Amino acid sequence: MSNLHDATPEASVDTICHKLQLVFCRNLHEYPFAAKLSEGGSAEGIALRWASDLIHQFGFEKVDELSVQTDLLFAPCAHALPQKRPIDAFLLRRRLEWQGRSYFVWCELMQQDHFRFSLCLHSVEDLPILQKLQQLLLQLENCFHFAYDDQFGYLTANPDLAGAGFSIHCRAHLPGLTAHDYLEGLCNFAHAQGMTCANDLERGLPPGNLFQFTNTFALTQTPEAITASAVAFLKCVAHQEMRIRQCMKYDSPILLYESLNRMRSFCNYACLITEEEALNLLSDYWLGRSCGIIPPAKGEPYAFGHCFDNVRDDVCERELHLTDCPTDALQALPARFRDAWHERAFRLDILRALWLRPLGQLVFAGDFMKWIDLK
Amino acid sequence: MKCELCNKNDAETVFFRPTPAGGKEELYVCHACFNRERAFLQPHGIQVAAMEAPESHTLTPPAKELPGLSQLSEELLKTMRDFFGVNSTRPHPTPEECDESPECPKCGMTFREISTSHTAGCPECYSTFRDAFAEMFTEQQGKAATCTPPPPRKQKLLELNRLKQAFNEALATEDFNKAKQLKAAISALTATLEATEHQLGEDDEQLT
Ligand SMILES: [Zn+2]
Ligand SMILES: [Zn+2]
Repeated sequence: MSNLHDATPEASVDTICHKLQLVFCRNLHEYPFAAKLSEGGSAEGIALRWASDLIHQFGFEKVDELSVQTDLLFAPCAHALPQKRPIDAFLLRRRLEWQGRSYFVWCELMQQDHFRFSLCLHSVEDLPILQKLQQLLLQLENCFHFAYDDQFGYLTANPDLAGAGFSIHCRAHLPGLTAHDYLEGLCNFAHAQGMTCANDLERGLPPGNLFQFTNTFALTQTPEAITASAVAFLKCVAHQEMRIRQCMKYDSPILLYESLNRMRSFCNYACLITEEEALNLLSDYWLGRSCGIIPPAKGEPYAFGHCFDNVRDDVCERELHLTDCPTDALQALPARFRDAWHERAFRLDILRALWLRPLGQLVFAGDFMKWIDLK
Repeated sequence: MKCELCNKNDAETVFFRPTPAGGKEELYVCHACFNRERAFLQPHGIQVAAMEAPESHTLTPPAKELPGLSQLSEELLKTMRDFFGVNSTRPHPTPEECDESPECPKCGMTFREISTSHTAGCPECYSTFRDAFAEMFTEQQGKAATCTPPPPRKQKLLELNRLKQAFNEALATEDFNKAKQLKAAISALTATLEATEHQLGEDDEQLT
């Protein structure tokens, strides 16, 4: 068995970090931010006009219509927003080709900010795509006059993001640090490095040992600098996490095997399972895989084939019901997406979607986006 | 003998690591590994100092030694108290003061509303409450955050795009004199941009 901490820092980061999301928030100078626009009632057709510009000039396609009234309920500051009549809001996307691969740039129109562009990655190696994304934004500036201030930079509805108008969200799987009670230290370290941990530790451990880190501020920094510090932070965390996993592997292999067996029988035979249980089982699965106890799946890294006795069996297509899922957020989806969720109620898909879906406390549309990103 | 943890440096000291079973395991380790492991064993979790970032990505360098965990949380509490105006030497404006304080002419929000909801109403809020925002940013992010200007948006690239558009328009309307001038301007700008592009490439290498 190889030493876990012999891996390069980048590989370690990829092991703990399943999802990176780059987000740019932009607003137009002449309009109030989305919440105020709906209050004024003068918003009619504005978002539609922007959407059509994005579609006709910049190759975006419409994915969905969102209603600000429901979607903002999931925003962290929802309590502070007056509930007003809904205004037009859209979810668009556009392909971005980079190094022979194709990515989606998502654009949420009229959520908290007028434009929220985002792109999801699965590896830190792909981060140079940031430059490509910025080029796209520059092209957009030809058409849209984004609010910019000489002292503060790009202006955003959330003052924390003013400056670069950029945030990077990193979702990290940290079973080792969790099991050994280093969470308080982890959060303090994140804070010292200018990152915020989105999980509310007051409410207990995050399901599946999944943590979401975001840069706290964006003032006076370039997106590149923010990304570089986030990666530096993740490298430190990954290093510690890998060391602990190494210890777990040698100190208590029996415990690891036990949890893997448990995971396997639940995944094979359980019919009703809560979202939290499922995430915790998948957490064990990933731990087992990074320790080399479960061999990596060929091709699709998130196939979870080894969760089942025999993938060729139709085991993975047996039904599995998540008793508290779809979550409240999913229930708020337009009906056709709810149906889609039920139709695909096969355990393999459910487990995969659950694992790749982000944690809460993001603006809801962002949550939904990552889910749809799977297809 | 090599360090039993990193297998790279020579072992310099002995370290007793508690095992989950409650026993102790004897390891021969280098000083670097020893310090890291010991930091990990602190009852309150990882000490901030034990996890400093790699030198290549120095973040805001601490002026003095990084504070220990207890000091840090004290500092954090203080920042929070300051931020929420509790026991602060310079409290945030009281409601009465806010009534006198101007509303944003565009969206009608007061700075108090902005700071409680943590959401600005419109881009104009930032210029209306420029000083208040600067003060808030300084409190949260330190002096440098408001003294240093933000990275400029890439004006030159924008300019280039605009010129190219104008050039195409000139061609379309067969205004060749104008097109010629524009073309000269474009190639001049492209030359300066290529110099910066080079810089960008270097930044990129640092990033990966
Ligand atoms: Zn060592
Ligand atoms: Zn305003």
